[in-house]
Parts: sequence; C-alpha cells; structure tokens
Amino acid sequence: MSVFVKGLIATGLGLAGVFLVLALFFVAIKLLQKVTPEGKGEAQDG
Amino acid sequence: MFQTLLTDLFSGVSFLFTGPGLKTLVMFIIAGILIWLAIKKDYEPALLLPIGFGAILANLPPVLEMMAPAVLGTAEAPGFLKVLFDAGIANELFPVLIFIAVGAMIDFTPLLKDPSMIFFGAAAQFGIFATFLVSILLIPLVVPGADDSLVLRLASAIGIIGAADGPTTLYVANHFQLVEYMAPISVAAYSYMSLVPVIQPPVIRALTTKAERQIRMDYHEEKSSKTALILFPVIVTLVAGILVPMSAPLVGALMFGNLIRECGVLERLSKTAQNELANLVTILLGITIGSTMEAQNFLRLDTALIMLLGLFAFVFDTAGGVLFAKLLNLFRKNKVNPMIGAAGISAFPMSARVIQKMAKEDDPYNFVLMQATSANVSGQLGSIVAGGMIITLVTMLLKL
Repeated sequence: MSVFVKGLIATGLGLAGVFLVLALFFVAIKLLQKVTPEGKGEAQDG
Repeated sequence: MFQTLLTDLFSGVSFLFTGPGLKTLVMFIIAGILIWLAIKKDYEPALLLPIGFGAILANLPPVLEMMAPAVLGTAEAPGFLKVLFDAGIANELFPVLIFIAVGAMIDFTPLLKDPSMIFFGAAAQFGIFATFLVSILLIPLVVPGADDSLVLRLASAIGIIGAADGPTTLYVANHFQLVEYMAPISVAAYSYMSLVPVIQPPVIRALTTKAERQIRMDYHEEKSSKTALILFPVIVTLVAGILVPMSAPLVGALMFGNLIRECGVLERLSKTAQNELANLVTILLGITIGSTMEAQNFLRLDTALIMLLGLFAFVFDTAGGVLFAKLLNLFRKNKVNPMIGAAGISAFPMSARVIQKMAKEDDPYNFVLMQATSANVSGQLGSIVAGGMIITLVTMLLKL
C-alpha cells in the first residue's frame, strides 16, 4: 500500500472519528440538559 | 602560549566570524524578531518572548571544553535548558500541565447552552487532515531519503499545527519521536497561535460577504446547572478516553483542570491552576522550546517547508470552519454567522475574541462572542481528539 493511500485512509477515518466523538459529546450534553434542567441543579455562580 | 590563552579566552568572538558563527547571527536576528513581536506587537508575549530569549541562549557560542553552548551542555553534563527539555518536553509533561491550567480557565457554560456549536470544533479540524495529505506529497521532495515512516510521522505533526494548539502539536511530535524537527514544529505552532488576529481575518473576509458577517444570532443569558457542569468533564474524559485512548493524557488533563474549576470546593486549587501553574509552565515551556532553535537544526530547507505547511494548515482549518457554517446555513432556518465556524480552531480564547471584533466592525451591535466561545472550546476538544486519532491511525498504518 502506498504512503499516499495510507494518508487517505488516515484522513477519512480521522475526520470521521473526530465528528463521531464530538457528536457523542453533543448527545451527552443533550442528555445532561434533560437530566439536569436549569433550576433543578444549583445555579453556577460565575 | 600567551596568544593561545588569548585565542581561547575570546573563542566566542572568533566563533562569530566562522561559518557556524554567521548562522548564529541569523538566529539572533530571528530571536530578535520574536521578541520584537512579543513586546511591540503584543502577539502572545508570554510565549514569543521566552521562545525568542531561549533561541538566543541556545545559539550562544560553544564552550571550548564541551563544544556546545553552556545552557545546553552535553549528554554527560547537560545544561539547564537541556535538563528542562528532558524533564518537560521529551516526556510530554509540560503540554499536559498546560492543559490542566487551560481546563481550569475554560467555562463550558455557553457550549452546554448551545451544544450544536460543538460541530464547528470538528469541522475546523479539516485543515489538519488536508495538510497531512499535502505534506505526504511534499516531504519526500524536501527531505531526500525520507522513508514512509518518517513521511507519515512528520506529516502528522505538521498537520496538527493547523489546530493552533501548541500542547497537542508537541504531544504528537513527541509521540512520533521527531526530536530533530521539534524546533520548527513547535515554533510554527506557537507563532501561528499568536498570529490568530493576523491570519484569520483575511481568510474569513475572503470566504464571506458583509451580509453574512452581519448575521445576528440569539443568545439567552442563562446559567447552567452545576450538576451538568460537573458531569460534563467526567463524561468527556470517559468518552474520549474509551474511544480514542491516545487522547487520554491531554483530554484527561484538560477535563481534570475543568473539574477543579467547576466542583465548587477547590477554589484555591482552581486559582492556582489558572495562575501560578499556567504562568510557571508557560515560562519553562517557552524558553525550552526556544532552546531547540539551534542554528544547525533550524536553518534548513525542511524548516521552511514546515513553517509554510503549518500556515497552510492554519488557513485551511479556518476555511474549513467557515465553509461548514455556510453549508449548514443552506439547511438551517436560523442562520449561523459563518465567522463562528472559524472559531472552531483551538486558540482559546483569542479566536473567539477575533470573531467578536470582526462582527462589531461590520455591525457595532452584533454580539456573537458566546457562540464563538462555544465553537472555540469545542475546537479545543476537537484538536485533542484529532491529535489522538491521527496518532492512533498512523501508528496502525505504519504496521501494515
């Protein structure tokens, strides 16, 4: 396998991986918003 | 005998008139420019000034007995800057400590209010991978004899420069044992970080119309629940640590710092992380990076390539974020100001401030700082994940 093809694989999977992990963070935040709506937890000071 | 004594005594002066001595003078000029940018232009002075001064120290004439500058010394008798390099850069300690401090400074509230901004932190990593590919094509032309392993490892570190995330760049370069290229890679990463106000605005203006830059976005000033702010760093650490284990040291340090900030019972530690820890490590990190800028390692063709590709990565990361925002606007009812996409790089909080400043230039009453900050902290997370991904993937591909 040529080094450029390896680069292409790393690029495709890398970008997909970044989007996937950050999408999971998004889902986590959405769940947190549901589980701990404003006013339910103690409000942040700053 | 007297003449020999005099020659030895003033060996530093005579060194300046040799071939390597002239290169030293060039390095003094480069170091002077960095210090000038720090003091006169106020570009990240906390980083550029120590880097510039470290470069001066590392290029002082060699001590006769050890044939190396006293601050660097030899393997048997290392100087203080070599000791700092081995203690903090070669083993990735300084980048991790910096991330604890950065984590303690980050307020994720705007992101928890509007989590859709997190995708800009992913889109703005586009430049990393585009530069990675371009580097794979160009490195063999500039570094003759570079094998596939060196090409992939060096391309990874060059690509990461685009994230404007110095610690992650150092982390990737260290992991791939690119000691010989540490100077240009780290100098490019930290210089471009400090040049965010210079590099980003023209790229953004080239890709957006004035009407697009004037788009206003709603933001409601609300407080996040404390429970959410405490749980968020723990969840992020678990998700990133399980899916991309190579990102664990950086994301773990960042989120540890953030948990100290948000837990509400460690205010003293939080302030120490934000101030004393950040300041101490910044001083040591900057001068140690500067010490890698020895003339023989820095004044080379591949340095120019790394600096150029680093700039390319930075520009493409900015462009990636802006274009992603414009793409989203094709489908969204509530339009996003496309400048927000550019804040998806990791230079926190400078990029968000630059975006707000640009927004005010086109509309004095446009306030997009909160959205830009959300994208900016997402970029911090995105660049760490991208660094972890690229290490994991390249390590796996090198085994094929």
